[in-house]
Parts: sequence; structure tokens; C-alpha cells
Amino acid sequence: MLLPLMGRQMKKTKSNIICYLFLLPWLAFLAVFTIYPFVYGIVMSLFNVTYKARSFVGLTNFAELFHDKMFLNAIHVTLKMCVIIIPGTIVVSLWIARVVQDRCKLLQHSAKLVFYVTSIVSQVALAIAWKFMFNPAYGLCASISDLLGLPRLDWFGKDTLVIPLVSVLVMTFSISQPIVLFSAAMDSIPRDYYEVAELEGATRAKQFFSVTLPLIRPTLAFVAITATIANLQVFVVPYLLTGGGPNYKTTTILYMVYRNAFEFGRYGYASAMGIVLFAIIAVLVFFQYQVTNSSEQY
Amino acid sequence: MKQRKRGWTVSLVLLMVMMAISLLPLYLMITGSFKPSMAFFMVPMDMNPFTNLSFNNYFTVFQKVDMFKAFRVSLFITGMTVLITVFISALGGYVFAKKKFSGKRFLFALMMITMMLPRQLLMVPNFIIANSLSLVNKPMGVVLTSVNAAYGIFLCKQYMVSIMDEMMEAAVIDGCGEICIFTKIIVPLSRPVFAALAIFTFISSWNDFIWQNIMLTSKANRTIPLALSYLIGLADGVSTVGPQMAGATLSAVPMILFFLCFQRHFIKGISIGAVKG
Repeated sequence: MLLPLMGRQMKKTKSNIICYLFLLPWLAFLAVFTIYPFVYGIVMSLFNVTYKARSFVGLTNFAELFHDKMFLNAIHVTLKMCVIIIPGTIVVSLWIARVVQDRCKLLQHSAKLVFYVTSIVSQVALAIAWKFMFNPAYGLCASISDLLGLPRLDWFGKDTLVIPLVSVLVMTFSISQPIVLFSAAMDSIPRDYYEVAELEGATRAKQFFSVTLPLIRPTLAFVAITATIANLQVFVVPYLLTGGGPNYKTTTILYMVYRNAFEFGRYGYASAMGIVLFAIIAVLVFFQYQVTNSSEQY
Repeated sequence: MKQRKRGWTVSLVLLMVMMAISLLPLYLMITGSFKPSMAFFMVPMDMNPFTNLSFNNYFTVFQKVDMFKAFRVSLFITGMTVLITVFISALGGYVFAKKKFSGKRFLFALMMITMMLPRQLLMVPNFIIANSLSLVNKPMGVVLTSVNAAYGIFLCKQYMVSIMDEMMEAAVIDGCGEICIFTKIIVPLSRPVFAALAIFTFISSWNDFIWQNIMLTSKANRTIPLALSYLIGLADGVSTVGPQMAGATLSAVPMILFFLCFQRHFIKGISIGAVKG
């Protein structure tokens, strides 16, 4: 009576062991380089950690953060960029995907190719080209200004100009993946839906808003969430192009983390910043998730 | 009907303009790399790729930084990261796709969370841990600390779910063990997803700047992105723009060629990962 049961139990244990052996490499990396650093980061944020000293300070780091004008400025800058980049990325990539939808294969293919190629080139290489393009004294923009008889602008040196400009530059490579995703989602919509809409006299714009958009909602949610996560961490482009300036107008949160840790050696304080950034990302993603999930049921 | 046609033409023109803008940095970078320094001063600028040709920029780049060495270091880091990531993801993806085991739901949730958790947020504690394991300033240290298999496991799992169970059962009847099923059935059938994952990992590892910049401080370990940022840092006015463009071209052209060769895998891979994200 008991024997077959025990046999089954043993078989189950054996299969469990095999599964965990397959997962072992992942779990090892996860433990050492993700979970441990995550916990360590939280612990570190409660300490005053510098090159030499280390002492427990409780929540002092966090208290300091919320009075740190530089940090509050960084939050402000990051959110401003996100407000441009995230909707911009979604709208532009949706528009491109829609324009090439149902058109000849060549156009569809070359559009995907062209917009994707920018995103595979190193941002450092792109920064070199952008620096030249937007130089105040020579380069492309100076030439265009001269041609149109306008004054030459110091693009990266102007407080009002620099955030939109950096955001647009980030967008040039952040639209690539959404275009491919939206195209794939649009291609999977059955043709009949559009035929019915056409018979009922819906214009192409109307078809887009009442047929395409509701049907690609899961992709839309995916793109919105990944774009939020990625762009709250804007760092490389301002780091290479503006050095965070002018007047700290492009010093993003991750830039502050980087400077505090690797330039000032304030590891504990930088960890506290990292946790605040994580909290911002988590809250925003949670809300997006709620919104997209609840509206799916109508 | 006529109005619709006009709307389409406007859209098409706008699309072409956007495509041109998108390619502009690459165009200026590649053509600029073959121009002498004085050409960069010119206003209006010289956009004709066939005038003022010169290869001096490339000579300067190779004088200022050891690009061959940088290529080797970058190739080592990228190659190892790709190998380890694909290996771990293949094993993990298989188990999540085809096996039942206790704790599966929990581990799957953990994987999804770490997939969403941005690596950069961990850069400070990760650096301190890497430092205490004396991984700093070693290419292998960069590899170990930047392997992030969560996305790869998810990608592999999405693909492997569609492999038919009957094939695995038939293999069991033929006397195939667990490892045999994995190597003889799962791995050969999953080649497309491995290709996609390898390409993604290759690109992100090759272009990774932040983490390499933190981890590799010595001249001997300079990778391609670090060599480029060193060139930017040398900036003493216009005279370095040309060499910078040449360095950027050297880093970008292999990637672009690589992309053109494997573009189908890219497009496919992106779609595998996003089915009901």
C-alpha cells in the first residue's frame, strides 16, 4: 500500500533535484550578483560608507537626500526628460509602425532597418557625432543656421534648450524596438476587422483608434513599462554630451548616483539615492501595470 | 480617395525625413572620419563624402590608443558574456518551459522581477562586492558581474514551450536520460532563440559603457567604448574631431555589418520576448 506512494515521492524528489541542478548556474549568479548586492545596497544606505570610514547612521542618508537641492534637482530633471521621452517614444514609434503597415514589404523592411541601426551603435560613438552636429562654432547646425540667416546657437549650453534636445537624442535610439514590436502586433490583427470597419465607413484614422489601438494594448503596456524603466535611468547621453550641465540642467538621478559613488566616494549616500530611484521606478511601473490591467476588462 | 492619397504622400515624406535624420549621425561619422581636420572648420560644412579625402584620422587613432588591444579586450568580454548567458538561459529556460518542480512559481516570479530590476541600480553595491572579490580591473570581472540571464531565461522559456512533449517522450522510450533529452532534442530545436539571445547579449555587452567605465580603470584593459571616451576626453579643440569620428566608425562599422547579416534573427527575437509582456 505504502510502497508505490513512497516510490512516487522519491521520483518527485529526484525530479526536483534535477530541475534545481539545471537552475543552479542561474541561481548562483542571481544570489551573488543580484540578490546579495540588492540587500547589501539597502544595508549600505544606512551607513556612512566612504573610502576609509564606515559607521552606522540610520536613516540620516535619506533625511539628507530630501534636503539635498542637487538631488531634488536631479529628480526634477529626470522626470522632465521622461515626460518628453516616454510619450514621445510611444507616439513616434506607433506612428511609424502605422505608416508602414500594409505597405510594400520593401518600405516596411527598410524603415525597421534604418531605425534599428541607430540603436545598435554604441552611444559613445553617437555622442561623438552629435557633439559635432550641435557644436556652436562649426558643424551641421551652425551651417544650417548660417544658411537660414539665423544666429548660431550653443545647443548644449542653453538652459531652456538642453533638456528637450537631450530627450530627442535619446528618442532617436529608443524608438527602434517599439517600432518592431508595434509592427508585429499590428500584423497579427486579422484583416477582416479592417474590412468590417471599412464597410461601416470608418476612415483610416478612425480604424486606427477603434480597431488597432485596443487590439495592440498588451504591446502598448509592455512598451510603456520598459520605456519607463529604461528612461528613468538616463545617464550615458548627458554624461558624454553635457557633463550634467549647464547649471546641472541635465544631471539625472543616475548621474548623481554615479558622481557620489565614483567621484566623491560616498558609497552609502549613493546607495540611498539608488533606493529612492528604485522606489520611483517601482511605483510608476506598478501604477502603469494597474491602469493597463484594469482597463482591459472594460 | 484623392485626399487619402495626399495624406499618404505627406506621411511618406515625413517618414523619409525621419529616416534621414536617424541616419544622419552615422553618415556624418563615417564620411567625417575620412576628412582632414581643416574640413571640420568649414561653414557651411563639407558633406560630400568624396571631397578632401584623407586617412590621417585613422593613423592618429592608432597612435593615440591601442585599438587592436581594445578590440581584443572587447571581444573577450563580449564573447564570454554571450557564452555564459546563453548557457545559463538554455538550462533555465528548459526547466521553466518543460518541467514541474516545487518552488517553480516562486522562482518564476523572482526571475520576472529581476528581469524588470535595472542592473544600473545595483552598480554601487555591485562595485563594492566586485572589489572585495578582487574582480575590479579584470575583463573576467566585468563578464561575471554583467551576466544577467533573467531576460535570456524568459526568452528561451517562451520559445521552448512550443517544442512538442511527444518528442521528449519518444526520446525517453528510446532510453534517453535528462541530459540526453536536453542536448539531443532541446538544444538543436532551440537554435533560433539562442541566435537571437546571443545577438542581443552581444550588442548590449559590446556597447556597455557605464559598467566597463566603472570596472576597468587601467589603460591595458581599455575596451572599445572606453577607448572612444578616452578620445573624447583628449579633446583639444577641432583637431581631435577627425580621430574621434574615425574611432567611432571603427567601433560602429563591425556592429552595423553584424546587424545587416543577422537582421532576421533580431526582428524575430524581439517578437519572441514580447508575446504578452
